[in-house]
Amino acid sequence: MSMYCYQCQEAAGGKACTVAGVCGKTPEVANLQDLLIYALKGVALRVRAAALDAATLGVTNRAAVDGLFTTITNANFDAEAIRWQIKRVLALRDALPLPAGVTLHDAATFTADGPDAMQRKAEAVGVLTTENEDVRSLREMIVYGLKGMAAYAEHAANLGKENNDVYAFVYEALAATLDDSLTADQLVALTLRTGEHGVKAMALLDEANTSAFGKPEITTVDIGVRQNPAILISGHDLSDLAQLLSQTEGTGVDVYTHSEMLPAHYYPAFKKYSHFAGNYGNAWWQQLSEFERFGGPILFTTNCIVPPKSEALRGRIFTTGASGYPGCTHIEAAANGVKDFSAIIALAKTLPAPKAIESGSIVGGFAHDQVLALADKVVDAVKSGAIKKFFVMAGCDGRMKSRAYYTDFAEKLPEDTVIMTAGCAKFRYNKLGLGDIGGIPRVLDAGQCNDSYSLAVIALKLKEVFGLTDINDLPIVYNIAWYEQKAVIVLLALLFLGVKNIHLGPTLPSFLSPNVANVLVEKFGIAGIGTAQDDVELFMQA
Amino acid sequence: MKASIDRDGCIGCGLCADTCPSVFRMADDGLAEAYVTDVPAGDEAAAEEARDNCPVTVITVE
Repeated sequence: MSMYCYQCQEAAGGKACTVAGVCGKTPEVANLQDLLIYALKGVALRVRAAALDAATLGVTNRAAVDGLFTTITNANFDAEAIRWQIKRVLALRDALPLPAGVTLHDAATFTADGPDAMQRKAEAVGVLTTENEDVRSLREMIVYGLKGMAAYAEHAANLGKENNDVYAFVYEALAATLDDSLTADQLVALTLRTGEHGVKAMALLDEANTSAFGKPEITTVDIGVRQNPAILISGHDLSDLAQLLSQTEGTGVDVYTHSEMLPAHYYPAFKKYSHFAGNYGNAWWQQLSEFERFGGPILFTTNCIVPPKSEALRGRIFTTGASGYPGCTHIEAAANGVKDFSAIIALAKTLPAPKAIESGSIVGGFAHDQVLALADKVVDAVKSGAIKKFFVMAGCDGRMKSRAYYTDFAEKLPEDTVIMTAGCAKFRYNKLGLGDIGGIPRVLDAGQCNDSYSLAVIALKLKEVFGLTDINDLPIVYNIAWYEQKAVIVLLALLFLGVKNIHLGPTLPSFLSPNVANVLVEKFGIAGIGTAQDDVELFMQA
Repeated sequence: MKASIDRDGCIGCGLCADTCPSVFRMADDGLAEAYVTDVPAGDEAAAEEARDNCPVTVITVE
């Protein structure tokens, strides 16, 4: 059995994973992910053919974003769970009206009952079925953007916030990826509209998070350990964290955040929990050794999971939401959205307290409201020359040694510069102790990857304050690190907002064909990275 | 410390060559090879990291 996947930055050989995923997924899982996407395209075709209003498609909307989210890199490795999703999506698809006299694409009508039929069908609907490499490149870029958008839409929906424009666009764009009549120019335009709706999804999640948990504020987060047994929570879903904190209160079990869950500490609503102990560890890719030292149970609410190779570790890992891994316990929500985490709490009580891997603290919480509260100070610092430039270094971290570039780059930046960050890319430089400029820390962490929205809001506000007409006239350089598809939607959102000359690394996406890459270079000035020293010099002159 | 790769299972992802270039490299057939068997002094941790991160668990370092 073979596969073809090139959706992440670590695609094998810088091209594509064809034998097994570098992420650890099997060809079976990769192919089932392809089939799930194909089934969702069929749903989209039916929604579009019958001109259905997304506002009337509640369950289908949620299944669509859940399906897309499930296929994000490192989220779900469980073939059985993906087969269940395909079955659910096909049932929802077939319940949609089929207008008389309309001949629809195979995606809207195919059947695949049982694992064998699904596998056979999956092998016929993968990425390579689009023969023209430029069309394939644009279609996949749109689908990957939708996956990232879906992740944000699902988190927001879990907190009761939905936007039917986002769902309607998901259907429109998914259907368009099967439309052979669209030209490359039309697909490029659709790519930018994907970015436009990415902004909407990020704004929606920002509203969902802040209305539920308050506005992020400057916060010092402990990175050491306490003496109590504990649970480590990873991923991005704050509604899961809220439930876990509530259920662990008074049990004697502490809760630590891991990787992308770190920014949860910045929200006022979680500060009332005295057992919300701090952050443990670093970015996702170091988890196997860090989980060994942690010793207690781990709850994944989303990606990024590194395959736990030992049965003992699998026994301590729990998944929920779109995440999953065979051999780990998956916790489903009840119909009312409540999740029962009692099994994790019970296990934690039987295990030792975590062993320290570091000590001290880090500071974050510089989302848009907090930074804009400091706007006068920031503007004065820019006008006086105390701050020469801002560097947006948001995005993902990953395994490749070439990512040491981001640590070097941060260290080599002149002392009159400030890094604005979001996502797990920050772990490359957030413990360097880079100091502050007149009380403004030189690393401003806005939050999770979706909080890149905050960085865009800040940039737009600064543009207004400085009386500029072009966002590119601000003293801001974008040096983004990417790994999975949420970074793709962040990139497309920035392009939609008119940001030019973004540097993207550590390597450009392998899903960009040479011609599509050229379009991005010529229209938007996208470039890769060089050495840290050369780039610092180049960017300071820009 | 010695390093080897079961090349039959290698998927050519390049992570090991990226993680520990003093021991692993990508051969002309697109798969990784351990081009030295004795891990150079000072690179033991990198070789072990390459082993631990290999997505198909075909690297032996001992």
